[in-house]
Amino acid sequence: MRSQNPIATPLTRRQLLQSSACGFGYLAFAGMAADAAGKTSSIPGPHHAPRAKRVIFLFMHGGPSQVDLFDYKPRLQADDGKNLPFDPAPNISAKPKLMKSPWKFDRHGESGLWVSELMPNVAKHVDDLCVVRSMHSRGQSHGQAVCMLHTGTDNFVRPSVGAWVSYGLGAENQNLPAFISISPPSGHGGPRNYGSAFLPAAHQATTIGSSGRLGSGNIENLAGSKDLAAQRKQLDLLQSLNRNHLNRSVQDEQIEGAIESFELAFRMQQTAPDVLDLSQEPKSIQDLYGVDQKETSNFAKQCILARRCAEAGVRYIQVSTGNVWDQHGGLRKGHTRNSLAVDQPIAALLADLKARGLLDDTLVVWGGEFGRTPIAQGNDGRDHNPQGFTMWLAGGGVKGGMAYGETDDYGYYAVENRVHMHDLHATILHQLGLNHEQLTYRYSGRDFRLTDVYGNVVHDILA
Amino acid sequence: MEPFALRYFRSTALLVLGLLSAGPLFADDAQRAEFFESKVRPLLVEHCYECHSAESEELKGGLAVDTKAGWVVGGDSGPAIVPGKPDESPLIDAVKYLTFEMPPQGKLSDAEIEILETWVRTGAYDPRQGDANVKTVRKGYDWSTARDFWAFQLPESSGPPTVANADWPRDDLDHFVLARLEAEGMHPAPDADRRTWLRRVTFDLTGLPPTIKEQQAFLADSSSEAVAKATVVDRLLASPQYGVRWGRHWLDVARYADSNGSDFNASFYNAWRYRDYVINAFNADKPYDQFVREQLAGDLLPYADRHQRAEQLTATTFLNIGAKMLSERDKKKLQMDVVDEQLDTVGKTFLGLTLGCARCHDHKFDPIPTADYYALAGIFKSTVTLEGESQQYVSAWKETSLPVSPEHAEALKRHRESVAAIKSKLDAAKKTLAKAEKALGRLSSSYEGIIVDNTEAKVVGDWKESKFSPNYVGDGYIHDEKTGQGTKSVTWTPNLPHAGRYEVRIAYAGSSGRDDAVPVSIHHANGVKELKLNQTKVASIDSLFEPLGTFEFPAGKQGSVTISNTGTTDYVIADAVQFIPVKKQTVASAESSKASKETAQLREQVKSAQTTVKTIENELKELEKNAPASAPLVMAAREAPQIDDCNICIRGEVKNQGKKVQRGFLQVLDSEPCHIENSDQSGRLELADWIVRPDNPLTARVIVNRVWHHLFGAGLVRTVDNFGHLGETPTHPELLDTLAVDFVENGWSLKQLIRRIVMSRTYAMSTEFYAEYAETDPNNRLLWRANRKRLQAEAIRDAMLLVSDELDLTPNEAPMKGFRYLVVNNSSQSASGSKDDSLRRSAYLPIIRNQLPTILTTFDFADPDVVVGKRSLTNVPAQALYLLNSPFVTSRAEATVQTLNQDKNLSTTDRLIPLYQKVYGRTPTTYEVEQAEQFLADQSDAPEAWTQLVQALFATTEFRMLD
Repeated sequence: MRSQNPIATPLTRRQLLQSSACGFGYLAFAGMAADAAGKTSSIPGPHHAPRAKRVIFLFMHGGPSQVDLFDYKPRLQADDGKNLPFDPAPNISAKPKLMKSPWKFDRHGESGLWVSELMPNVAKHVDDLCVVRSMHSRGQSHGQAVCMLHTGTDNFVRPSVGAWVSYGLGAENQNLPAFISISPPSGHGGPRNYGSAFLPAAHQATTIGSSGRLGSGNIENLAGSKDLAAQRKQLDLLQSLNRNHLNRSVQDEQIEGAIESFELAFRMQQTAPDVLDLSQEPKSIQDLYGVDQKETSNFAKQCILARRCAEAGVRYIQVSTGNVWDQHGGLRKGHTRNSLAVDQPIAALLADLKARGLLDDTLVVWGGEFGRTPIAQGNDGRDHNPQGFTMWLAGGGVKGGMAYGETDDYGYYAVENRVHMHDLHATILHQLGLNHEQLTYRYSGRDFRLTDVYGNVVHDILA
Repeated sequence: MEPFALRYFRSTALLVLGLLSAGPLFADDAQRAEFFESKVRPLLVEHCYECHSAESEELKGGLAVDTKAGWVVGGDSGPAIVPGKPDESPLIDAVKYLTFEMPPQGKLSDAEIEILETWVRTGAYDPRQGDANVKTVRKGYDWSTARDFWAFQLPESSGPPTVANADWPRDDLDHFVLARLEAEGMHPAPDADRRTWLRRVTFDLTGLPPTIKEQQAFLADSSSEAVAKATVVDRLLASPQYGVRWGRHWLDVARYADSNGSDFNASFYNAWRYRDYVINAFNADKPYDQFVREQLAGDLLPYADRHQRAEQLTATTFLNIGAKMLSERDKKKLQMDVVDEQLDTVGKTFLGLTLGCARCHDHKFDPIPTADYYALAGIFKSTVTLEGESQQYVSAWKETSLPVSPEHAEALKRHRESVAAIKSKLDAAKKTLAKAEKALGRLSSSYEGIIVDNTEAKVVGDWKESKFSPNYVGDGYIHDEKTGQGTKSVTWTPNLPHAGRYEVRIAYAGSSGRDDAVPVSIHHANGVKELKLNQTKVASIDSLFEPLGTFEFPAGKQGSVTISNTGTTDYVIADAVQFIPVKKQTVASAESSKASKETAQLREQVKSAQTTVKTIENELKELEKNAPASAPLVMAAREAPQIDDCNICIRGEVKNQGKKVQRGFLQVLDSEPCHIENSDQSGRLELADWIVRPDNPLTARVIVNRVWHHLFGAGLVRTVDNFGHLGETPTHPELLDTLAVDFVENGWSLKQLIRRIVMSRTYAMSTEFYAEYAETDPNNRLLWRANRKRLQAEAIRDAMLLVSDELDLTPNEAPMKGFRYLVVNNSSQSASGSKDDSLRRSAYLPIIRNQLPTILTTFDFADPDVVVGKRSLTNVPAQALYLLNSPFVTSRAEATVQTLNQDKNLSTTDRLIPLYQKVYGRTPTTYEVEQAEQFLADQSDAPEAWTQLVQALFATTEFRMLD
């Protein structure tokens, strides 16, 4: 009654998979973005010529203080101790009393941009930075603001920026994930901040370490020390069983997808450890980042790892500090310690990328989920401030040595050329060749975007 | 030059006048026109046209302001301007940054805003002709057309269609499938063999593989095919493992979890009661309509006894268990976000509708206007989900005591009363003691020293009163709240009767969390002594007083002791200071013997009062120790104290309130407007009744389709959570309808429905591939064969544990016991909790949001943050890596090897047969035996080789799929 597979076809991918005689090496695997059937999903982007091929996002978890780092406010210094002459934002614990920055500011570089003494090394690269002083965002608490920064929403479950990028552009290196998050936050939304939500799971970040700590510096369940040759034997047995299953089934895309994904996984095991192996870096590079010093060692390693991932073709790399910037009290001590930990590694990262010619097509973004109030909490602290804060960008087709936007005289509210978090997202996507209004995914009855119905590309800062 | 408009605002009187009438500001239209042309138009052109005019690339928010009609019709928020009323005009709110922040590049100057306000207040004169931009014309719904959509029509049962191959069907449902195939000239796949069917049905109904014994029993059953299969199906449906499997399916759509996740990952200590409620409901085959009612309104349902009451209260956990942004500081927004989450869940779960889309604007695809959304929102806004705060700004959720047995309740009541009685006794005793101490303190100054309590001290800065630590002088102590370091101090100044040497002692309740270097300065006759007090240490005298040294003091109020929080990093406590005269050096005073006698008496009184306090305290301790167990808590939903309808939030913005809408349901499902008139209750009960009423076209279809999806790997409507216009239409509409109608007629029994389906011929088909059919129907929508299904994450894990003889089938209670309130900390020192090591069925693992067991997330477990009717099916290298390298799989493989007969005399084949039976539900082929023998021989048959072999079998597609 039923004939067996009457259609004769030339040697197909399927037949290759079914035949144990053929190796897998020459099959172009796109398994990272493989859907249920094991087929490569269609990749929606790029929509226009990209200026950046990848992003390194340096996330300062907790909220660094703009008025103590990049947003110099003489009036704040002058009016120390006076009352704030306008209303503070609702729902905060700080008293409306101005507190000057305990740190000295100075002009740097040819651009003469102001940077405080907390970031002496980053200050040397100020001519490469586009300092956006007029950021504002949603979320008066960390949870909302952290999710807003990573996913473009302060309450819903939505894909993270890196997941959208992976979905939009696919992987550059098929043997590595397109999105790697180094020591991402475990709280304040945790995995939501690097998750794929309704996008296919392949787009979520592969994580290394957590909560600002690199840990073992490995990807989970990578064979590591196991003998790969022995595992290859086991894999051959396994794949032979799978091929038998496939042969009995005549045709099944899910089984084919599984067979491919085992091969991809095995190749990842050969590729990834190389990328993750920091000992391959010469001592001069390690010293440049500050691996040798206790204060900077952890973040230095993360930054080197980020650069190695960038070189190896990872699209979106996030590096996170722990939730350490949240100085409601102990500002002097806390911000000194935190700045010390990241200043040299970040400066080294910029220098290193530049030296390798990578800065041109790598967009580096620095910032926290919000800034801090210019008014005092206690006598040595500042409260949360999504109303106005500073982030900076470097490389990847943005103008260097420029400041964009302004906060008011005290550095509280963004007032001029305001840049919302949605606008930053739109701009990041734009630099990668993606149109934030066209990068959509249909789910649960409608098309979703990273920027929802908002977002404007900040063209003024583009080179 | 002074801006034109400002001149009118020089006096408040004129301003008030302006609010009352447009008249006095502009004499005539000519003046209005001049004002518009010179002031308003340029402003609109410069700041608004880029996004809100015919020139705009895309009209933002659907609003155009380049014609009068543009703002009259308005955008998504409705008309942008109410002439004469700036306070009611969304455009004015937007430029004031009260709602939207327009223009987004930066706020207009105050003068510019005043121009726009003046313009609106004076009637918004606007000569600009032209239509409202086409794009802004919003259509209402044509309800009669809308109701014609298939999903909004009542399902109707149709008789089984006739088929040519009349021998094939076993159930009416087979007729529908076969008729469709025959119409396309196709034939159904042959039946699957017995082993395949057994493996399929056992996993489908219980989530576990058939044991070797079960395989043997079924294969040996010589009764008719139907009887033999019925025996198996009835056994499986009666197994408690059925409820674990199907309850878990429900928990997917109920977005069940044991912690909040989101921004503040707090432990849901009592969520498991709902998990068990669901599993029990499936095992007891609770009618589905009752199941729905209980989850939506169990707290409002009548009950026969406390057990039923407890069960129904527990069921409403369904509403409370979603992930919430607990730390959102804008609590009104948080409330509406929670309502949204509940509505979205209810819509998808029970009705297959994406209601959430209508929060910000009328649903673009389905006939759900925003008004309907807020009619439903009023119901949930009148329901309590959140209550109190666990810390500043962080909301907590409502928990309710479950009713207990009368004896238990009586015991609890008695206990409460006893505690209250003892506490009042204790209070009285403490008062007596305090009185006696005070009297003694006053009188015995020269003997016992002088005590100055914090209440008599000079306090600088904000100090907080506390009785947190039990030992203190007088009525509590104060602490510095660990804030304002360097700004706070407390100074005790005694009134010393005599000059002389005094020993100074400071009272504080030492414990961890306090500062270890509190600066203390003692101002005495010869200067100032500075020292640091370690308040983390318990004081040496009576655990309360710490000697600071002996100093010379003049008489009167010359000396003092000051404590401050300068340079401290932890809590600083201030309680009391004691000055005890050093007798030998004190000038003897002429104290009367009468006074001395009185002192002795008081001392006695103090002593006896102290004893009494101690005795009562011990009594209380004893009582608490033997307290009856407190009543169990559940995360039940409760009625809000205030029942009210909800205002539309324009564009979903809580701050942007539109008109109030009466609570009610969806217009598209009701030909008559259906409102809730009940002002005493939220309306959840009415909603539940409305959802499960027999003429709701969606409810039965949606659940029947969910069952079909789980048994066939794809629903008759493949978009199981979306029956709207963007969902798919049913592949077999008559079949879906007939099943739905029969389901309701059969008393909403899920077990009967499942039994009927798995006993059908359609379910019995093999997965045999037929290339010709695959060409025309690659996705098997016509059901020409069985779909090859993936095992779900839980089934993979549980099956490995069953194969290795390690599976623990006992349910667990309170999986979050032992976890901290904040289960995953937000700090960088996060020590997170996750229990991967349990060997229970996966459904009993703690489902900690953001920290799910790796094996579950790796194999596409349902994201507990959202409703998941259909899990995603991914094929990612992480799965391969997990199977090849994870300690969990390796351990199961090792344990499996241990279960194999270790008798060296047995042939490899004899050991392989039971292994393959356990893993695949079949015996190995000759080729497979040879292959395995070769693999083992290559490694000298070492035990590790066996482990690797078993692990390879676990990793195969055949193990992880159901043929």
